[in-house]
This record gives sequence, structure tokens and C-alpha cells, in this order.
Amino acid sequence: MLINPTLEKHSKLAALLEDARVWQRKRFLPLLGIGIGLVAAGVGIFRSMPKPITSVPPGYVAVVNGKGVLMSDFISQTAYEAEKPFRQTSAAERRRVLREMIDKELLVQRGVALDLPETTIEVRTVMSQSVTAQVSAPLLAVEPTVAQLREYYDRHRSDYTTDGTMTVHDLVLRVGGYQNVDQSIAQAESDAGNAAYELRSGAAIGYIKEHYGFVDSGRSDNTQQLDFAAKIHLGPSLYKAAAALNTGEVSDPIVESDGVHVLIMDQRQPPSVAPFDKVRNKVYLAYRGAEQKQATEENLKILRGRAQILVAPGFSE
Amino acid sequence: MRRIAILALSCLVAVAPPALAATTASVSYTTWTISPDKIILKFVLPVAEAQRLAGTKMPLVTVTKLEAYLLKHTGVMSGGQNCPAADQGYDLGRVDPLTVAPGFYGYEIFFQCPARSATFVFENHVLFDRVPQHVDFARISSSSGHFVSQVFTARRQELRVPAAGATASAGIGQYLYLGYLHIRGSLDRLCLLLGLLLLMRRKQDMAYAGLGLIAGYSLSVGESAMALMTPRATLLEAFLGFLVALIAAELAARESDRGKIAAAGSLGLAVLAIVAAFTYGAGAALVLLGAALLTGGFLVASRHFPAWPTYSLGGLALIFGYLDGFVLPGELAPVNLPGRALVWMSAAFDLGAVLTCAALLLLAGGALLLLRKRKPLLPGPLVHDLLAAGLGGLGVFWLLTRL
Repeated sequence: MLINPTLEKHSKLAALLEDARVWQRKRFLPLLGIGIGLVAAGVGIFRSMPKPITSVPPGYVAVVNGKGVLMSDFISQTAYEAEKPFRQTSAAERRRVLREMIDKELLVQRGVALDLPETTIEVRTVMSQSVTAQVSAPLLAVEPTVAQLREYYDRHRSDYTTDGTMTVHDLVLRVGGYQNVDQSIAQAESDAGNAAYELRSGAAIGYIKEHYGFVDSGRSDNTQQLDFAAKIHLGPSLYKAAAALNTGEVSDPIVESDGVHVLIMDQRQPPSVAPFDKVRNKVYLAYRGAEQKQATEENLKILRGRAQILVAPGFSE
Repeated sequence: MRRIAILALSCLVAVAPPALAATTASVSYTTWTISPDKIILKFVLPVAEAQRLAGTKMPLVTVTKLEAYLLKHTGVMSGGQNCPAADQGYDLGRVDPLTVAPGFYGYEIFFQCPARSATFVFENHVLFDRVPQHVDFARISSSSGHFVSQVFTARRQELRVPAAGATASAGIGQYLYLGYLHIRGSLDRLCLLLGLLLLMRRKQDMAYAGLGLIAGYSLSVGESAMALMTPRATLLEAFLGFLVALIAAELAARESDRGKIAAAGSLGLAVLAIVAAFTYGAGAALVLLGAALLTGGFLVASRHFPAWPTYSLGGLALIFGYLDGFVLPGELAPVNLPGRALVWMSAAFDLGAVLTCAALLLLAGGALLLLRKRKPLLPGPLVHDLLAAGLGGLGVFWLLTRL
């Protein structure tokens, strides 16, 4: 078989070239891997040198020990202190406010260095109040509608009742004392029942005292008293009976440890719920307070969920 | 069976106790200012060191304990008399906590000398009893306002300073010694040097490794002078761990299937890079990705380059020297030294490190040659495999624990 020498020469050359390509690829790829690997690792390991702060960045009015004083805070503080828009404030006013703010920043940094948030109760109180104000700010930014306030008022009517008043006589028929040693409770109760009947029929208090031996118990001074004061003076069982009486009514006999009592209500003004319009401001403040409390509780719930809290043995919260 | 045993040994070393974890260097910073009526000492301590001293991570307890510790372990003497720390008024006491950069605790103490002599003795014993390799980088401001740099080490806990006139700064010998201490006290650096030694086959390999080290350290000094980049210390240390593992892989590849080791190493590191991207962040992921590519390329390249073993030694030494050269600039970063002073100190420190590395390589190399000439008790291949397995395990351990 005859072979064309030119063709044979070409095929050998092609094979050689192919070998060279494979050889190059085999050498090139590992080196490429090493090169890219070193670059990637270098990018991971190194970062550009942080530049020292030599100028005040945009948005700040000053930098104190690396901590910035915000331009927005400066503008609002200057306007607040000068009691006019920032644009109308003088250079002297601005300088004074900036000096005050830098002083305050220095003092805050000093406080942090002294660990005041950890050691001083007043600082902790102010900080916690600030956090509460911050978390409730979005809620407080939205004014409640009248319908919301009225709905809140309806749900908390008991918070808006006005206290009642009463002028009550408290007569007592003593039992078991040296003056009435033979008197039994049953007899005293029967006498008191008769006295109550006569009082309801229009008998005078003086006559009842004289005829049956009743005396003022001393628990009531026969003047007008607010309900809560009357409750304190009369005691729970007598107050319960008194609160049920209207003006001019006389109670049934009530047995107490010191004898049998009869109450005569001279003047009674029962407690009543204040109308919404009269207590609207009070409702508004209570509504806002409730919103703030809810925001604080939700915030604390989140914080507690994230926190690791250890309590010393023997103590609990 | 032999391969399984090597793999098992590697894994055993990789889960070794934390005592093997060569941590970052222990350093602190002091500034001693000589004023007409007192000596002001400003002491700055990294949080990790402060917590080590206080034995707690609670900031308040740490601050309180550190104050007492500093009072006990620092001092100034003048004319043979102790200068007591002055009460700074209010409720500060004798040690005033300062506002310093995040990650550090700072304190200030005023020493008032009853009688002022011609020389002060500054005493700093902080941490040396607990960490003998601890270094305190000090700056001393003389009465003229001129600053000089000094160092306190375990064997140099006192400095004699003239009350008036210029104070001498730490000499080149101090930084050479620090470079020596740095290499001597770092198990990972020593392992890397051992690995380089095990890779050597010919006499000229030693020269290439030495040249690589010098070139690497020189490059880092040049880089420090330009102050363009700064390393992330933990990732740098992790990459040094990887280099140890890479050397172990190369040692293993010489005796077994190079392709399989390259594939397994690259694949493992690539998987770790993906995991790290979601857990440790982009920096760690990039380092691991780079390590994966480097492993594949490095192990495969030797098939196609006859001179690869010699050149790769120089390359590995260069990378090691370059990365290690950033240690001192990193430690001195909080002091914000002027560039010229930093270059001078880095150069001396790195020279100390290079000389230590060279001495260790020569000594260990000589010892190996002697052992080969005599009849060894253990067969050479077994020792070689055991060392490779140990290095591999340690390298992986350092790589993973430092990310």
C-alpha cells in the first residue's frame, strides 16, 4: 500500500500538536487552580486597611472619640433651645448648642466607661423608660378615633363612676354590758325591730333613744361622707346595709359584736357612671396608657424569648 | 490497611483536646506618661485577656477584678521608693476605667512619687505569671512630649527610664527576641516547618525554602509600609492550619494515589466552603474555596512539572512567610504607630522569626540526616506516615476551629 508522504507528515504533525495541547492543558489547569485559589483565599483573609476618621462623615455634625453626633439631632436641638426654626438661629446659638451636645456625648461616654447602666438605678430607669417610649412611639403616632375611645370607655365603665355620699345615723342597742346585763340578743333584736317600725312611722330619733335605750354607735358622725369613708367607719356589714338604703329609709336590725344596730339614712347620693363627654380626657389618657403598656409587654415578651436569664438559687421572679 | 490506619490517626489528632489549639498571641498595651507631678499609666487590655484574668465573662466583675489586679501588678519606683497610686477622687478610687476602642478594656492609674530621683523604674507584671509568652507593647512619653516604643516581656518586667531627657526605645535585639518567641511558642508554625522539612528531597530544597521564607516576610514588611491591607487574624491563622494539612496531603500523595487525594481534599473543602458561606460568612467561605482550588492544583501539578517539588517548597515557604509577617503589624494595630516605626519593628521581628525558622530547619534537617545514617529503631516509611497523619489531623483541626 502506498502512502502519500505529505499526508503522513501532516498527520504526525497534527498528533504532535494534539499532544502539546493536552500537555499544555494538563499543566495550565493546575496552575490556574493554584492562582485562583490563592486569590480567593487572599480576598477572604485580607481586607482594606480601615482609614482613620479624619473628617466628619455626611449626616453628622461632629465625631467625638469615634462616636458621631447626628446632624438631625443637632438641628432639632438648636431649634428647640432657640425656640425658632433652625434656619433663623444665629451662629453663636449653633456654636453653644454644639458645644453642649459634645459635652453631653463626652459625659455619656464617660458614663458608659464607668458602667453606669450596670451599676446605677437612675440610669437604668431612664434607659428602660426610653426603650418603652421607643417601642410605643409607632402606636402613639396614630391618634385614636372617638369610636375607639367610646368603645374603651364602655369596656371600662367602672373606672369612671363618681363616688356616692351618705349622711347616716347609726344607733346601737348594747347587749351584755353592766347596764343591761339581763338583756339577751333576741330581746334586743325584738326591741330594735319595734324601734325600726316606729322610726319608719315617723318617730323622732331622740324619742327612740330615750324609749329603747339606743345610743349613737360612734361609727358615724352624722355628717355627709363619701362612700369609701363611710365603708371604713361603718365596717363591711353595716356599710352593705347602708348602701342599700335610700334617703329617709330605716334599716332592719343588724346584729354586730357590740349590739344590735339600726341605720337611719338622712341623705343618700348613690354612685353613678360619669358620662363619656365629661371624662373624655381621662379616657384618652387611659387609652394611651393601655397602648403603651401593651407595646411594652409585647416587647418584653420578645426580649424574654431571646434572652438567657439565670436566677440565683432560692430566688424567683 | 496502612491507609486506613493513617486516616484514623489523622481523625484522632483532628479531634484532639483544645490544648492543641494554638491561640492568637497574648498582648497588651501600655502608655507611660511622665509629667512633672506624676506618672500616668494607661493600660489597655483585649477583652479575651481581661476575661482570662478575671476568670469570668461578666463585664462588671471583670472591671472590678481587673482594677485590683492592675494595682497589684503595676508600679513605679523612684529613688528606691515605691510611688503609690493616687486616689483620683469622686468614687473612682485609684484605678479609673477609660473609654477605649471596642473589644478592649482601658484603665488609668496615677503614680505619685514622694521623692523624685533621676531615674524611674516602671514595673509591669501583668499576665506574665499566667502566660509566659505574653508581650506588652509600651509607649513612653518623656517630659519633653517625645514618644518611644518599648516592650515588656516575661524576662523584662522592669524598665529604667530617666526622669528628664530622652528615653531609649527598645533595641533591635528586643524585636529579634520577640520574633524568636513567636515561632518557638507557636505549635502550628513549628508543624509547618516540620512539614516543609519532610517535603525536602534534595540539598537545594533547603535553600529554596529559605529563599521563600525571606521573600515572604519581605513582601509583608513592604505591604505593612504601604498600609494597604490588614488581615483578619482568625482567617489568617485558619489558612496556616490549612497549609499544614496541604503539606500532609502532599506527603501522603507521594506514597499513594495522588489523583484521589487531590479530588477528596478539593471536594471536602468545597463542601465546607458552601457550609461556611451560610454559617461563618463570605470571608471564611472564600478562604475555604481558595483552599479547595489550591489543594487540587497543588497536588495535581507535580505530575506535570518535574521541578515541582523544589519550586512548591519555595512557594509554600513564601506563602507562610508572607502571612506570618502580618502578625506583628496586626498586634500593633491598636497602638496606631507611625508607618516608619512599624516597618522597622516588623523587619526586626520578622528577621528574628526567619532566623529562628532557618535555625530550626537546619537543626532538624541535620538531626534527620544523622538518624538516616544510623540504623533507626523504627522503619523510615512508618515514621514518615505517622508524621504525615499527625500533621494532617492538626492542620484540619486548626483550619476548622479557627474559621
